[in-house]
Amino acid sequence: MKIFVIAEREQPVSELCAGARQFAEEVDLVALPTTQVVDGVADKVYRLEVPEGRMMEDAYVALANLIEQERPDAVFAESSRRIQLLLGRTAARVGGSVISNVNAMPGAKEASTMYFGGLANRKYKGEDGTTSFFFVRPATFPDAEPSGNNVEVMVPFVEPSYEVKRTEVGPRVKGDVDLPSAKRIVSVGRGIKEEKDLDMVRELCSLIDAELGCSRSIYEAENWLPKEALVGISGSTVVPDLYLTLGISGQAQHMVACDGATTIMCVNTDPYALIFEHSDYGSKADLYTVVPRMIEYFKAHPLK
Amino acid sequence: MNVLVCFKSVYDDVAIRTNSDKTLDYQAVPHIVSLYDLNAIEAAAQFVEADPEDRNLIALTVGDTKIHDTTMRKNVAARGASEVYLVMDDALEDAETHQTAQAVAAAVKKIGDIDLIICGDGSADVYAHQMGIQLGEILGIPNVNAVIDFKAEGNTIKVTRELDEEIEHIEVQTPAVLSVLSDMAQPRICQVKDIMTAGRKPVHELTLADIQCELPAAQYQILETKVPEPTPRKMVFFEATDEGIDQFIEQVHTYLTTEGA
Repeated sequence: MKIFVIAEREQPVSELCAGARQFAEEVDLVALPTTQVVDGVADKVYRLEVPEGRMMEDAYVALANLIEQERPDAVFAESSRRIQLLLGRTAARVGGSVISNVNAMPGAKEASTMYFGGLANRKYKGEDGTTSFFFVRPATFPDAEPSGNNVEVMVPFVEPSYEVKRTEVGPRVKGDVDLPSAKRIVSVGRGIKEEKDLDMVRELCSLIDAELGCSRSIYEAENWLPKEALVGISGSTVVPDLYLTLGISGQAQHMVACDGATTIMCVNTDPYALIFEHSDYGSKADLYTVVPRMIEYFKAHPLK
Repeated sequence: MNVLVCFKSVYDDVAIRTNSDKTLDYQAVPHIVSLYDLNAIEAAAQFVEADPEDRNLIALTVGDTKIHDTTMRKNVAARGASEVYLVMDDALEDAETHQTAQAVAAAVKKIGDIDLIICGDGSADVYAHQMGIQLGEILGIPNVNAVIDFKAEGNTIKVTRELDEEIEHIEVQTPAVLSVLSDMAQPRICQVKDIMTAGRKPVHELTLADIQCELPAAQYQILETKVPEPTPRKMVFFEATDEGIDQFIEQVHTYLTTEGA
């Protein structure tokens, strides 16, 4: 069994190499110029060469050639924007299909994936003799350890048949929010009527030392919060101690992203809202009554 | 300039029920335009409407024969497409990314004379982020994802990509495929007159045979699709009374000063 891992950031590099090692005698890391290669995680590290002024994803011709030559049983990939493009082009070139949103892997070619944003899990098995392509979500291999000697192999650039000219690249300015590492999150949804109402929610957040998040409906319909505040399958996956929702209905695509919270609390005037089925504690009162009273309460009883 | 926007027709997930064996029950569940594809249709429509003399918008979907829904196709036509193509064939049920891309590529060739293809970020059901990319590769034309803005200058398309850590500006020559982020454009609220005129726009129904597409073999088996067991929660609820609100707030306080501290 031979598995290729393609990732950019340090954590997915380690996690995916570790997961691959559970199944495969040979684990090889494919590194983009941006990849943070970690010591001792793979047998080989294939470094994709990219000439100056080109987009990294243009290295797909070389990668497709490498896959046709090495014939890995599976490719485990981090779902970054660049790797989505790189691997999609590569798979099309070798005639392969890609399975995304993998959240469990019972075998090297067996994957459980989120269907309709987590409404259901769909299990796939890759046919023998083909290379299976999987985009694997974070924390899919919690107990695995990576190993290997990281023998470096350079993969020379091969020109694609069409040209994409890169004219400029710069850092992306992000919102000042870091939800994935937050211990406490207060998240708002459709129940918030106006942007100025976020002020009271922010006040509550500062009193209980929480970060502010939001659901997709409020993120998309209004321009009140940065993308980093979005909790859901199209935003951040969070694992706080406390996840307190205000006026969020609890759709599958949202709940799947906060299911790792130790405790979920909700405030929602609709007693039939799905969110109650996913909550440890829930208030059926109006958030416009509850939040001001919480602010008053935590001013009188400050947390140390 | 002919602009083609691709959309997927999916089950309306709020209407999907769960069977006692935890499988999904799709009976009488309507098909709708996949959520993020509405944003792609809007991005394409705004681009076309910026120069309506020169630009024309065509919409295309491929899927199994269950996607035959007049409300859905009218909805797409009301959003700015001048005509709608539906490729329907039961061989496309649960089609994999490469199979779908092959079918769309064959349809693009059949329609002919397309300068720019717009796709969404991912579909509501499998959210693979792959179709536009694989389509471009099969057609052998420039293709990029994560597009947050684009404009045309002659045959050059200037594109801005929003990546995880970077903003990247690139240029491609037409024909090209762009997969746009849902942040690029918010779907419009259709006006009554748009919906009225939508019913008169041409709709073309085709099969895989009509577009000379021989679907490649599937590379994965679907073993099962089941609703997961929910994470067990305490489910302690407080009524919307003064007393209930106080108890809830005290519960939050107790949690934060003990276990959640």
